[in-house]
Amino acid sequence: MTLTVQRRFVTPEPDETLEALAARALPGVALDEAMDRIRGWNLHIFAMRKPRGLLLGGDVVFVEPPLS
Amino acid sequence: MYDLVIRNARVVDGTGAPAFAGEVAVKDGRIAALGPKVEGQARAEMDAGGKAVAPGFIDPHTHFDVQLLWDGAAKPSLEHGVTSIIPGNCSLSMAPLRAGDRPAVIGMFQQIEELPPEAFTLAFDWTWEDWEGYRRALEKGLAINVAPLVGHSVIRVWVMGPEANQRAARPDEIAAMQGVLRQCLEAGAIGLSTSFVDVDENARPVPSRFAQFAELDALCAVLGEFGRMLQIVPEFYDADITIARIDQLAELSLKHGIPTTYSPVFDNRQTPASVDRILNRSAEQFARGARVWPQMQTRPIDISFSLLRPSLFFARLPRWVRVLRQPLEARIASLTDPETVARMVEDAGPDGGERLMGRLVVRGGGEAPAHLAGKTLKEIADARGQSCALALIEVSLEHGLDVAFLSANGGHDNTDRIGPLLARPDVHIGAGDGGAHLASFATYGDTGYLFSEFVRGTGALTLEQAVAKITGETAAIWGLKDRGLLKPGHAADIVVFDPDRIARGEERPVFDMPGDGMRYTRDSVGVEAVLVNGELAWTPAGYTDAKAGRICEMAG
Amino acid sequence: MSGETVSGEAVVLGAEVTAGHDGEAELTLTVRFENGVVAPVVLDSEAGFEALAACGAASAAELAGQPWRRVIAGLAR
Repeated sequence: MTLTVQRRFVTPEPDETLEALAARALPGVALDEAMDRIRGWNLHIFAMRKPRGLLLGGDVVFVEPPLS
Repeated sequence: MYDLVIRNARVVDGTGAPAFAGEVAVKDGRIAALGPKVEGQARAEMDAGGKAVAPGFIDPHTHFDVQLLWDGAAKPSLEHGVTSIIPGNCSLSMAPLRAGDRPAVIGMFQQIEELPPEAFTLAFDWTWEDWEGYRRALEKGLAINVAPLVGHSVIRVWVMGPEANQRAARPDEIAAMQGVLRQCLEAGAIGLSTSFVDVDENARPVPSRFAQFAELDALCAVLGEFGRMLQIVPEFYDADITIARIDQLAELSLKHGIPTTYSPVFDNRQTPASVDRILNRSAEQFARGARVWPQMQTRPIDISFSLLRPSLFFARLPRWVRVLRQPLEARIASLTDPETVARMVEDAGPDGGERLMGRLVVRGGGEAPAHLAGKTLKEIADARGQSCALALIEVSLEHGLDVAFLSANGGHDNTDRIGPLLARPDVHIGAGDGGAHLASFATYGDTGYLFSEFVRGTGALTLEQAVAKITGETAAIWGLKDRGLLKPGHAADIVVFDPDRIARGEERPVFDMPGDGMRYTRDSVGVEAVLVNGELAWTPAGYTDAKAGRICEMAG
Repeated sequence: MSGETVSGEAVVLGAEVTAGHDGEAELTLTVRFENGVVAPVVLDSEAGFEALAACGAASAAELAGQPWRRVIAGLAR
């Protein structure tokens, strides 16, 4: 059984910052732009959490926009 | 000699097989015989009057952990025909829990369950710290069967103390958590729950959310030793995230040979593709051999709000948004300013808000006067000779803004669409949340709603299918031993109900929580008798004194 | 929801009030992402009101046409 392709994600490493995660997930993209993209694809972390943007070990962090 | 024979029954045995006219015999708390005619004497007989006689319903997603300590019937679940409940969902349980850690965990429970503080100080004695002690405390007064999960957040607190909601665990801490989980499973916990959504009373993420996947993987290795369930609450508002969680669950299920379940799953008109995408992903993972059970609720979602807090219910109305976003004092000042109110009423539309607000229902509880409870805003507005918008504002002001309004069927309400989803063999009916959200909405009667809306209503499920979904199939999914079927040797958990009437009652406020705390509840409709382990626990005359509930044993 | 296969800046196409699991009204934004895919993004009550404020929108309808970047800037920083 082949699984359909779904949106790619990573999970944060312990104590990983957004900067580090963005650099890891989107190499080759300017850091500020990479961070903006990560924010824009992950409002569950960057809009609906206190404190906003706190990366948790259990998080799903999307590294691309929605596919469908 | 049997203890009881139920005669003149329409036997629905929980397997999905066609119902038949027959009799059911009970002895020593178990089903002793059933068939068209049961021969032999009995100490007591019950005439079912041709009504359905089925296995007691099993509710797989509840938060009765605290309530069970003073109310062993998990009222009103039992009277709805529910004879077994699974508490401990969403990473929270009442054990293992050291005395010093109680305040932290109480805060989490209060956030989810909305229990008054007195529930933790007046209603029971904390006699335990470990799971074995909690089990003993629970067993004292059970009228309903309980199959409790142990919560990941609580295990984290036990091992990591105040750092549980601060950081990732070290390898030695993960090993310690594995040991604690193993002890809990050996002492009667039926599985583990975790959450990726819940927050504590300060809106801080609960401890389980700080765990790396490796920690969850390690805990699932322990579940694998026992073949036990992992329950999660995913980011249910987003299909992509839920699908990512399904994939994680599938990995854990395949690696450790465990069943997993996620809840809730629901449908919204505004995101019509989401539920199909989610269920199809589960189906793909089932096809790989993973067990990833989506729990779908039967009941629709109602929006509830008061003017005490800004609600997006008014997001279409610019002037309302502006006023409701103000701090409370300024908000009240605006709502008492005739010019502002006139503009708000104008904003609500040429019909004075009738289309948008007319069907809102004033809820009991809060400061709403009893004579308004249950009335629509249109009825109230007409009686006052006002527009709906003005009536909403003035009724709120007259009671310190503490008047709750309900917008019924705000989501998961398209029964033609939801029925076939509930009927899917790879969908687990659950996610009821019994015992939670006490002051927000009633989480009871979802089983009655299943029959009224999806058996008698749309016909998406037959009576037999619906019964199987919430009895035999649920027991099989979770691995509950000898429950969920009317079958010789199985526990005599039995519900007698009228298939033509069973439903959920109207939502109403009651003040039966410790400290006269309020909660919303629903009475059962069409349930005629409930037996737990062979003892009559409830009839329309009320609860009996029977305390026959047990901690459920697991198969295998 | 599949969208046109265009690339460019993500933009909000619309916003609707929806019912959240906990009985709270939420805001579901329809966003056309930079890859052209149109997908929903759900905001809870607090984030929904802040999104309105960030965009200077008086109501949900006024979020339509707002650059996604502007919403994020208001919410995520």
